[in-house]
Amino acid sequence: MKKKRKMSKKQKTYLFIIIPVVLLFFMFNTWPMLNGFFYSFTNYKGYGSYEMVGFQNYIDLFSDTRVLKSYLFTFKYAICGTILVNVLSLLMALALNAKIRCKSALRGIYFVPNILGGLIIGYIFSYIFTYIIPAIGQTWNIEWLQNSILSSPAYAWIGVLIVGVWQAVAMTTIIYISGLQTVPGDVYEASRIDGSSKWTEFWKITFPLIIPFVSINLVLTTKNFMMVFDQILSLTGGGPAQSTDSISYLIYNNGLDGGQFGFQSANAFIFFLVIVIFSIVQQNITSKKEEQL
Amino acid sequence: MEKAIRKSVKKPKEKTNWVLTIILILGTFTVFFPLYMAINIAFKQPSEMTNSIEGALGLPSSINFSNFAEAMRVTDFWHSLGNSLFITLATIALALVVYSLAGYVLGRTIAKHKGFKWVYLYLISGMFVPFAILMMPLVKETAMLHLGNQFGVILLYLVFYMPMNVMLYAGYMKNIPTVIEEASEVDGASTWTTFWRVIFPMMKPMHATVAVLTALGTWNDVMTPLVIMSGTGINTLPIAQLNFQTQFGTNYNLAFASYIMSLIPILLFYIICQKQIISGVANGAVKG
Amino acid sequence: MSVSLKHINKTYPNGYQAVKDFNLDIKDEEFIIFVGPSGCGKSTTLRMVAGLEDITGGELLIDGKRMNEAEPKDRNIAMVFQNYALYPHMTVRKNMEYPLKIAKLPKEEINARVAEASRILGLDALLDRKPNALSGGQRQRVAMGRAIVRNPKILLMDEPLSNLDAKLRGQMRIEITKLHKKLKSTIIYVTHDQTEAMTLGDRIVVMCDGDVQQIDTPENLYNRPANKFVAGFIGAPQMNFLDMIVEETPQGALLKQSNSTLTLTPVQSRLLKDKGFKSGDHVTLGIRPENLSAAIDTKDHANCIEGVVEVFEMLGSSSNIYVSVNGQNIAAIMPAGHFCKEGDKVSLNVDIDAIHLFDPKSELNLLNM
Repeated sequence: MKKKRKMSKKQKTYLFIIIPVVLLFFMFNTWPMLNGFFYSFTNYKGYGSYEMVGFQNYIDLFSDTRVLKSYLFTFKYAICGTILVNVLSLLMALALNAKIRCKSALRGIYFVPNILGGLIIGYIFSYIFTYIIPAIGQTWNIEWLQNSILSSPAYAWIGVLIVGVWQAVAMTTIIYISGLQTVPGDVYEASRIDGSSKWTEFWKITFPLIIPFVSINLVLTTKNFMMVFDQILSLTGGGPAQSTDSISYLIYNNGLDGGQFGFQSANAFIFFLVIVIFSIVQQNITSKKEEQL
Repeated sequence: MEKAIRKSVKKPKEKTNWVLTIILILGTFTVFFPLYMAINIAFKQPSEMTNSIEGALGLPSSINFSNFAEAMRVTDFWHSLGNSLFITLATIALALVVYSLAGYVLGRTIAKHKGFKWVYLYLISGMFVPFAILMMPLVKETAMLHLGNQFGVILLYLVFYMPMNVMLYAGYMKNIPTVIEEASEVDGASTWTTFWRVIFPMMKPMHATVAVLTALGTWNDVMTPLVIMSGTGINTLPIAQLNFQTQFGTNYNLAFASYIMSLIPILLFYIICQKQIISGVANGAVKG
Repeated sequence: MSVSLKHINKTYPNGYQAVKDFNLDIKDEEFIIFVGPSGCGKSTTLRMVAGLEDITGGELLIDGKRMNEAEPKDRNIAMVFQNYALYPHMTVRKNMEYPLKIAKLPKEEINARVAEASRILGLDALLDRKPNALSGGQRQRVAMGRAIVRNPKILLMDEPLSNLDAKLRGQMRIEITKLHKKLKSTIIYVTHDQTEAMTLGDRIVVMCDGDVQQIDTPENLYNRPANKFVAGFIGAPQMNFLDMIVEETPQGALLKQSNSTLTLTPVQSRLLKDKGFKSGDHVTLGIRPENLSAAIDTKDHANCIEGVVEVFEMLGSSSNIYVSVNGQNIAAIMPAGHFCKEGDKVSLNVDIDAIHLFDPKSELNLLNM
């Protein structure tokens, strides 16, 4: 009894702080999520009346080619993007952490793409892909450069990928650099005395020591690439022939403007599950890797 | 800490790697080229835009700011800039206060108190919720609450960035010994006063990280204002570009002048606080 | 201001009993020490007085008023923490001003009090520095300054000197004594160092495993320890303990151990007998190193303990020898000029009036009346 009363003043302050925060979070995160979950069982268009349709939306999802294509594109984009970004970033980080001149200036410059908005970068690259590269192709008579990559259903995704990678490398590199800086210098000195080459030094010493940073980067880049939106909006609008429809873009486009509110809610929910499962798997692999070290 | 690490890593007696330096300097071309293109086109007149390579890459015949003036007029630049600034600054201010308070409470209680532990896990779980799933219900909800405006966008940002940042603050509380709080209590302060006069100032490194992450996130965000404020006529800078693109799609010179203008504020911010931004972003990612 | 602890208990949620039935009346302006090995509950008790820890059972009275539930800020106390707990983002001046600003004192008053405290503690040159630019001793002074600016009626100190080196600790001990005379406040001081306890305290509370062992003046703790724990804890080098066997004779009791025999005084013999010790019973003999001397006349083996020197330490003004007596080790302090070497046989003369006898089971002092 006494204990309860004594604790209460501090505890009260804590509750006074945390309750509004939880309410706010519930109102703009949990509540809309539950709402979306509810709509995913209806045929709501976003306006007008609607009926409950049970699991029909979920069943339809698996036979809707546009949805399936969007998943295929998003996975293809995320996998290629993650690999490319991490390989490039690791190389960049090694280079930027080596004994070079103008180190901080170079680091500063290579970080610029990260601070610029995806939309405007998309527009600028869109112009480069549509006008400048074909102009170069024509001048030097290189056939495969003469048409805009963004207008080709087969290759447009590569255009989007280039822009995505261009932006993502900056951030990933910075994280790798901070990883490399945690490797103490004497470890290198020891290995140099042992006579190992740069190549074995990297694989046997540097890489194992920065594994935690590799896993952070893998999680971050995969998630960001899975949720790609700005670049699609500014570069292709999902085209040509829906070849670059990302899941986020499809939910936005068809859910809000295409009269598929209920259907796309179901899609959004599946997407949420994919992200959760992905995160759990990622977490497990990471913690196992870290245990091994 | 940072400095100590950097020092210990420095390997003495190693020669400058000039080959690498030169490769890296050449590589900055990939960063500068798109920016150069944007600036270049922004200064050109439509008549200078030919399909030849000289037309595409060559410098403009004269430095002329008329494109910028015109772009400012048609995008209502100052209003959009004002909205973007207002949303970003208000979000940062609220973020620092709300997240640090929540992080403080949770950082101090999750180890001992089951209830708070659940609250913490509940808030953190928000990290897995993609915006796509909330987007459509949020449009309806904000419209219903008359929040289809800047204030709604600010509130939403506050909620979206909450999981990550509360986690950062709660984790940072480990660096602030409880004995400091006890000292303040014995000195006569209430929990509330202790937070504002002792804990909040001691969280300074985390404030920098959270402010930078929030600033970059909100300033460049398209999706939230796009879905929440569509049809209200209220623009942020990115939304102004989006509308501009659909309305004046053909006039690239005007468009690029407008893009450049919307990039300038964030570039200035970056040039001024480059160190804090890079370390803040890295900090956030590594700890979060 | 007086402080009373009545049947104070502290039990943690996991069932661990940190403090058991603590009773103490502290008079106004008294300097009280809580001493004991780490984990004995002394800091917990102090924190209960401060209001930083809940009181599970019992009653805490400050100036006659029940304070169990009061917030720390309502108890009119100040505290100096072990690691100083200075606010790292504030200058020394701001650190000292803080409690006064919280109390909403007028600006002139704040300035006057900070100036006074800073003069007393010699902090004038450091007022605009931040804590991380100070040495350990300086931080310690700032922590004290922050505590005394409020003219607290009760000052709590939790191992304030334990992070300082030995020399500085000696200086600060003297300063704290002076400070106590000047402030005239009640001080409760926690330490694990018996030297600090003996030199500073009016009265000392010796604790072990949550139990109060003895509450007494330094002199009485030294001369009349309540039990074997207190006897071993107070005094350095530590008191020697030897297992002896009682033998009753018409002249009085003897204590025997291999070839050593001690003859007890009549008073000691009577006390031993009253407590029910007979011939053949074991008893623990306690003798301080300073009450042993080397027997010069080797023929007179009365009240002597025979042993072999294991270690000899020259200290200058005196020397310590460590002697093995039939498998048990004892230490003795020898005057300067007395030399011996490892392996020497030695006969140690026991000052029979200074011995203590303890019940081997209850460990209570058998000679206390």
